[in-house]
Amino acid sequence: MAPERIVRADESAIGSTVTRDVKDDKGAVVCFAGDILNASLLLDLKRAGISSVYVERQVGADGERSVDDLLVELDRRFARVEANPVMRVLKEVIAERTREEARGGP
Amino acid sequence: MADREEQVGGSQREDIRGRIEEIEDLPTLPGVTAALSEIVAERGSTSRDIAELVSKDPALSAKFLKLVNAPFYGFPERIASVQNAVLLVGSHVVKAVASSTEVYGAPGEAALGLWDHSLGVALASRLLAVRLDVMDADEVMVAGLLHDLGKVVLYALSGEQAEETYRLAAEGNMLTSEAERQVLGVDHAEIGGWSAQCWNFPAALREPISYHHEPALSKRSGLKTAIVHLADVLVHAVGFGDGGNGLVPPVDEAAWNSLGLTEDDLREIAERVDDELSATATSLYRSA
Amino acid sequence: MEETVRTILIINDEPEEVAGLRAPLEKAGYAVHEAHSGDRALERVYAEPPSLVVLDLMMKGKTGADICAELKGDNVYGHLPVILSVPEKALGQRINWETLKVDDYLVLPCSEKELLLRTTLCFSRASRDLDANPLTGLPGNVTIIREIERRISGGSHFALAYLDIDHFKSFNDRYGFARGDEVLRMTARILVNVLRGLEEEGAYVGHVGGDDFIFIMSPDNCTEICEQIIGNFDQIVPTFYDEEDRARGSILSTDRRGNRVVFPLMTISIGLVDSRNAEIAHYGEASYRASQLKSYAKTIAGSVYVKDRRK
Repeated sequence: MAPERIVRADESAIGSTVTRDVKDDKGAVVCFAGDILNASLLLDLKRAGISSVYVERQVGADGERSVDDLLVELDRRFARVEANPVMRVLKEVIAERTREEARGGP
Repeated sequence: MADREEQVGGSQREDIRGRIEEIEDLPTLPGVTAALSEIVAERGSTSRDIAELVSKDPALSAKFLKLVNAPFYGFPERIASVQNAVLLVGSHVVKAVASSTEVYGAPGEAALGLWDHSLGVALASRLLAVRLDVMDADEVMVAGLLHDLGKVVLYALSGEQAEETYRLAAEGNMLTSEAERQVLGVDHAEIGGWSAQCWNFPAALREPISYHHEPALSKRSGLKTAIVHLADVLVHAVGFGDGGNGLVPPVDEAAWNSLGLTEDDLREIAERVDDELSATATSLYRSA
Repeated sequence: MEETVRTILIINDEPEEVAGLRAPLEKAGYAVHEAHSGDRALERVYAEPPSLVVLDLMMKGKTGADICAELKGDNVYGHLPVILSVPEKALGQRINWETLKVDDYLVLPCSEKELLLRTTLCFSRASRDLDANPLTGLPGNVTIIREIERRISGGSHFALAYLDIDHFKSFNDRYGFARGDEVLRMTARILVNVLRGLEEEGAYVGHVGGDDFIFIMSPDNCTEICEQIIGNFDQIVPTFYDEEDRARGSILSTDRRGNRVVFPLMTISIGLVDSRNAEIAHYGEASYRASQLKSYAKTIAGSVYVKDRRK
């Protein structure tokens, strides 16, 4: 599970990795999960009338989020429910997956 | 109802409640209505095709369920399935509704995240319902899709106020319910409950909408409410389509116990939910 | 349905005429809405049905006649009273009341008094429409017979179907008449929507009474129509049962002697007659044959349609 965020499909997104397939309203895929956005893909998106996409949180070479950053984020999100044993199990599952992703997939 | 903070005074609550009855339209995201109009116009398309599209959109689903459960049709509080709603209103009505539903010109991030989150909880609810061998897995899926109906309604009543509230939640590291109570004096579960009641939704939908944060309060649809509650927690946990700060709400102990799942089950389900949601294509976001 | 304030929808694209109608109606205590185009008007009617519609004959785009046809062709929305407003200059036009199925008409401009009288008359007449089934809004016996005879004498081919709901009585006994009525209204809606969807013109649905319905369509579509009706009914009807009965797929009951009786979930039986298969001289023959076929269909478990054979 790549932590992701939604961004406007414009020049500022160049270099980002798309995390989910983007389809136009006829169901044709405009770009696939895993594609790295470049000017040409952005133009395709614009033509299909699509204005936002989900991309990985790391943006290009600088500002890459390390596994530690992601795990700290995870801590923050679960901070208020840590006392709950069921929630702890859930958090563990996600932490494991985050580490696996960073290592290059399960 | 459990204790509710009423810092902002009863009048704002009553104002919101009153305005629900006057809602004429529930706008949706751009792209959806165009897609729907296209499907309706196609000669070969069936009501299943129409229902397939509608059941991914919380605003459209709510709209059709509201229509078909109106006393005017003759069987209020009976229909909880989008498929059946589409069959019973008929394609001529679907066509009229499709061409007239309004669209948010430039939806903010929180709105986009809400639509995705709703779809995520729909899918997770269905997964759980099938796993637990519940009879109406499709109805549970609709309940999951509509669990945050209160937020959809809030956007319809005042998009600006909605975005402001969710910004506050993100900045203040609060759950959205907390920010809502602070700004509006009422939270989305209650707003959703009022709406579901006003629109004559069956209990199987009304209760998960009203009680997805406090499942112990459900009376008639305890199991479905517990499922939607857990699905909501799971989808927040994996971080699908939040558009907010992603704080994960706690799972209710009684609800968890009532489902009879083990920790191993939880691991397996969480992984499946994550897999399935990662594979889900993003909604159609068209430029205005 | 409780109605404290009656709403009136004015469908008219001439602002002066709308204003002329709105003022007296509001003064009389009605809540008045307006729509300036056919599409907008239909959407409003479907989503928030008014108590009465004042529809202008001279609309640009979708005409008053089109709008009327679409409304009146629907069993739920069709019983909304419609007053046709006709501008004086259009009176010379030939108006065919057979196709323009409005409830009354008004010549514009008209006096306040006349407008209000027509409106109250319309409301009172709506409740007096004797032949329509009060539950489903579908035409009843008298109208049905007339329609069948019209088709026979017109010489065009048609298919006639008789439908009833199996195990309806046991459902009523178990759940009461109110819920039974819900099932009837749901069934009526399914029939209307399937026929409307598959048969563009010439479809006809009637409600004879109780759980007996009839419908008329062109012979080419009849099998598809029956299959869709059956599919939709079977899909939706379990929703009207409580959970345990739905899970079990049956209602448990005891008869007078105390024996356990099991009633399956409701299904439908359809008897279908194609006018091409035999000479049909009048309504009685068609009705008799369809009825026989339906009785046979009832002997077969599940939702079934039985069609007559070529002689």
